[in-house]
Formats: sequence, C-alpha cells, structure tokens
Amino acid sequence: MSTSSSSSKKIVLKSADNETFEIDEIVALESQAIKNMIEDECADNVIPLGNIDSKTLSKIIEYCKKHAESPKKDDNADIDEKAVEDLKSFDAEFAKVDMPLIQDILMAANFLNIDNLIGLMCRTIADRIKGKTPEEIRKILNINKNDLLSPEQEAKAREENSWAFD
Amino acid sequence: MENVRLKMKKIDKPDESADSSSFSCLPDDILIQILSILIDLKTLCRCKLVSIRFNHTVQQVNAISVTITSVDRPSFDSNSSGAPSERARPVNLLFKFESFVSVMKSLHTFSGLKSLCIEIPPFHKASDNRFLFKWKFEFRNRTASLLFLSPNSICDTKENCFPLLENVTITATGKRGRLSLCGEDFVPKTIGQTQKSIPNNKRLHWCYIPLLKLPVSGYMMKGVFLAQVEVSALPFDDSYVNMNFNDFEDKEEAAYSEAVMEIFKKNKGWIEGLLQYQLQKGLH
Repeated sequence: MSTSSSSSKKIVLKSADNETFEIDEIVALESQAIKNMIEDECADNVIPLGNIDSKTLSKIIEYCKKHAESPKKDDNADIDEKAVEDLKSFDAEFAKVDMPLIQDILMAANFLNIDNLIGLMCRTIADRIKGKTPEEIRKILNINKNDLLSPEQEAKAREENSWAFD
Repeated sequence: MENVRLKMKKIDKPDESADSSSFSCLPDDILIQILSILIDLKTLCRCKLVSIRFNHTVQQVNAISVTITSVDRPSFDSNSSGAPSERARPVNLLFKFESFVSVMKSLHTFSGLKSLCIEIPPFHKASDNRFLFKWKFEFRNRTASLLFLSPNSICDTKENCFPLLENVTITATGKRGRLSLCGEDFVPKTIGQTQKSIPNNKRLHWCYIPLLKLPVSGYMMKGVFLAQVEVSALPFDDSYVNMNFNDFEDKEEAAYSEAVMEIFKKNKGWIEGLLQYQLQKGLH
C-alpha cells in the first residue's frame, strides 16, 4: 500500500509539547517505525510522539527531509557523486549541535528507528570522546555521579590500564 | 489511534521518568555502537573508567585497533664488546616493551573480539633508517607473543659473484647517502654477545648477533637484533625451531624464519633462561 508514489499525502507528527508538524509521507517513511505503522495501517493522520519534544522533532524532520530528497544508494548504481558529497556536508553541518541535543536526537532516532541518523549521532559522540580522559568524557556526556566506579574499582582499572594514561 | 498509542508506549518504556538529557537513558546497544566506532584500544581502555556501565559495556566491543607507540631499537656497535653501552640501551627498550605487555594484557578483557588491527610504526630514525625489520605475532589460547627480528642488512651469499671483494663504496653525487662496506664486515663471525633475559622484566628476551649465516636460504644477515615478548606465562614451545622452509612461498620470509630458528638453535642458553624463569614463576 505504501507503494503509492503520491508525494502529496501528508502525515502529521505531534511532539510531546503538543506542537504539530505536517510532513510529506515520503519524509516520514525515513523512520522505519513510522513506516511499519503505515504499512500495518495502524497510523492515523496524526501520530503522537509523546517522548520527543518539538526542538528535537524539528531537527529530525530536517534530517529526514534532506535524506528523503536525496537519491537512495540502491535506487541506481551510479548515483551522482555530487549528491553524495552534498549529503555528507549536510550531515556534518547537522551534527554541529550541543551534546544534550545530540543525545535527544539519538534517543528519538532510536525510538523512530532511523538507522542513518543513529549512525551519524553515534559517530558524532565517538568523535567527541576520542582521545579524551575519563574525566573529560564524563563531563562531555554528563554522566550521572551515581554511575561512577567506586574509588577502589577506579584505582584498580587505572592500574590495569596504566599504559593508556601515559 | 488507540492502537498507535499502545505500540509507542511499549517501545517507549526505558525513557519514561528519566532525565531525557542524561546519557544513561540511551540503551546499551547504542552505547556499544558508539564504543565500537572508537576502535582505538587506548581510548577504549580510558572508557573503562568513565562509569560502571561503560566499564562492562566496553568489553563487548568486537573490533579493536592498537598502535604500538615507537618501539626503540637499541643501536649496538658490532665492533666493540662494550658492555656498558649495551646494558644502558635496553632500559629504554624495556620500558616500551613493558607497555606492550600491558597493552596485550588489556586486550585479554575483550573476550568478544572479532577483529584486531595492530599497527607497528616504522622505525624512522634519522640515524638508523637503513635496517630491515620483521615481526611476528603469535596468538594462541588467550596468549600472545611478539617477535621482532631486525638485521641491519642482508646479503645473499649464493649470489655473491665476487668472493674476493673486500671494499665497496657507493656514493651518489649530489644526493645524500653513502654505502660503504669493507674488509671486516665480510668476515663471518660466530654468534656472540648474547644477552639473557633482563632482570625485573623476564618477559622480554632479546639478543644481538653481529653476523648470522643462513645455510638453507643462503643469506647472511648482519647486526641481527631479536626480541621476544611473551605475554603469557605459558612455557616456551619450540615451534620456531621446527619450521619447514618449504612452507614459505616467499623467499624473504623463509630467510627471516630461518634466522629466528638459527638463533634459537644456537643459543640454547637463551631459551633455557626463558624456560627457567617460567619454572620459577610457576612456583610462586
């Protein structure tokens, strides 16, 4: 049923703070979770996303729009090099946001099952913690103090991996 | 509509009632995905200290890359028997190998490892960039050892068509670089100057042989430095001594393997020292 190519069909997403976003169905299909819902015919015109705020949702829609417009890899073997480059620089720009928003986007992308976006956010986080000390990583990721190792565990782990702290 | 809500709620669970900006909300498989991108063992080991969750999740990473930081080769003077300088050098080397041992040890915690990339940097040193270098890794049951073999030069004795040649100098005008071989270098010496395992770190064994003749492959190696790092305490096995040279397609590899075998064969004391240490260690 989703094979209908009418890009005019609209889907409305509703954020946790009750903001609505009307988007083309083709954009919504970037989300595997929404795609499944539509295919199972269990999606109404308005899809409530009770755990995604409007700020995060608008970022995700921005991402999905761009990716829905771009030619898909499996569409055709010789896709435009320029389109690939264009998408790459879009992704790089897209990821230039602060860590709390990255984590929100990652949570939401995981929930909506948007593989490319999960990958992009994971790479972004990995890039930011690469080469950092444990203290810096905790700060970057805002790790809860209750989750830390005990001083004894930490001393042991530090000793076992002393070479990594040279 | 009701249907949709139910579906969403179900997947939604872990997020509810938690601070959405906190990293702890992210599911474990996402954390593994992030850690897997890191690849670099040093970063991964640092991640072990970040939190309890990081500490146990890191161990599920299955692809790791290790860069062995500059392993210094002691520069021996083959003409002198000068023990002091030789004794001084290994300290430097020892330190680096010590860190290699702990690198291999921390690798052992990654029991789900599927892909391992070990990068050994080139020995680029302005004063010492002419020597050849081979290495070999051994992976056994949770065991790894590293073997370095680096002769200063190799010449093929079978192809030597000037047996009386005593002095060669090659100079390239306008270019830096000058190769000079003369008299003494051509005189074969017996294996000597063998150093046994070093006190305080018995896991590193090395020896230096000024000239090594390889009868099977017909090469002659000069200034051979061999180092072996044993990470496990398992007894040394003699697999190096029983190598079959017909197995090697590559002539060069065969020559290097023969060199290792020759050294092990002719330096029984070296191997015995190794075995002895392991026995001692076993008693503790």
